[in-house]
Amino acid sequence: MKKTDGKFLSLCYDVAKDYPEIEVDDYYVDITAANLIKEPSNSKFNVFILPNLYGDIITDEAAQMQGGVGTAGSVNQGGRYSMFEAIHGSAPRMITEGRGQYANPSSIVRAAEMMLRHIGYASQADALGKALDGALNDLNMTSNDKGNSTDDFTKYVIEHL
Amino acid sequence: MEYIKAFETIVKEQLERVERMKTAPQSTDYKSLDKIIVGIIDGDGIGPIITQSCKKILEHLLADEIAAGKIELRDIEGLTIENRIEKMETVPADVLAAVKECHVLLKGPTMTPGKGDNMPNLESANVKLRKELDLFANVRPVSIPEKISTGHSSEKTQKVNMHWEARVWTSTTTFPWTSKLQLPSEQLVLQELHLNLRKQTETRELPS
Repeated sequence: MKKTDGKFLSLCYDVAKDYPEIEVDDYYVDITAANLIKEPSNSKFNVFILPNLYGDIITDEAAQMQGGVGTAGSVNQGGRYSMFEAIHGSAPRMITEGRGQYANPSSIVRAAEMMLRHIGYASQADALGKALDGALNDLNMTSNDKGNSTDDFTKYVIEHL
Repeated sequence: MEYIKAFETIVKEQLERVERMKTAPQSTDYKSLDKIIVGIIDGDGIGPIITQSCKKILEHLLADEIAAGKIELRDIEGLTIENRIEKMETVPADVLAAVKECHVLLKGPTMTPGKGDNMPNLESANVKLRKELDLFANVRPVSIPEKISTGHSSEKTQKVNMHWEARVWTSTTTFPWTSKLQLPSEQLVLQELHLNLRKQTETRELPS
């Protein structure tokens, strides 16, 4: 672990040297998971940089704190290309149980907000983010017929853009 | 000895990828493009439902830009588990070619067959796309209501209408974990992170 994670860490500190205005600290992944839910001191963190496996776990934990993995968007970033996506799975059970029309698009809409910001459409991204916050607040997306449907969601967001 | 050969192949592939990444364009300048092409990939299960909902929303939000030809929302078909199994390709060649004609992609969830699914063993479409498009970092922002100390001993913290935001940067490189191969992509993650931090503070007010 010292060799592999240690290499990652030393690279972080190498790059950090160029940005003295950014405070950098490091933790082992186990205590990171604990610190993330330790209030109120967790609010001192603004950015986490993690290797792949740790990132998978810590992002799910962080998304759950926000309201569930269905509420976070995500980008796979490259140079020439970037790919924005929902962070949840395809939920095949919802389709076989006939609940497809109640699927919650929040995660992919959040990803679309990130995409707009990425391509330089910040004001449109802000508008979309606000409409999405409103939908999450005013609608009850239960993923079944007890709550709002996908169409309700789409309509709400369009009306509040 | 077969496994050593297989390992050699993987190492060779990764070294070649590292060389490609060194010369790859650092980032697209979207302002200089006449038209930004957004590829829309439905995916599997609830994917088409949520992705098309999102597309409808974007069509309203970007109506002027789409009418002026500055943005195109382009549906990319064929990245479904049925088509992938039929062709026995993680990302069918024609789909990948269509993807590469876009600038950015908006993608619904794609299914990766697991052990109990009774389907052929296909690699994750995401992993394949990350490799093909050299997407070196996965970023997820979260925003969480902040609790601050109010000074009362009975109630030390209180939820206030304030959020702290965190962005989790994850390297998409899972293999191999040797320092030599790991270097360029990890460095790109970190450099891009700092570029983005700067961009963010320019385009968006940070929580006060």
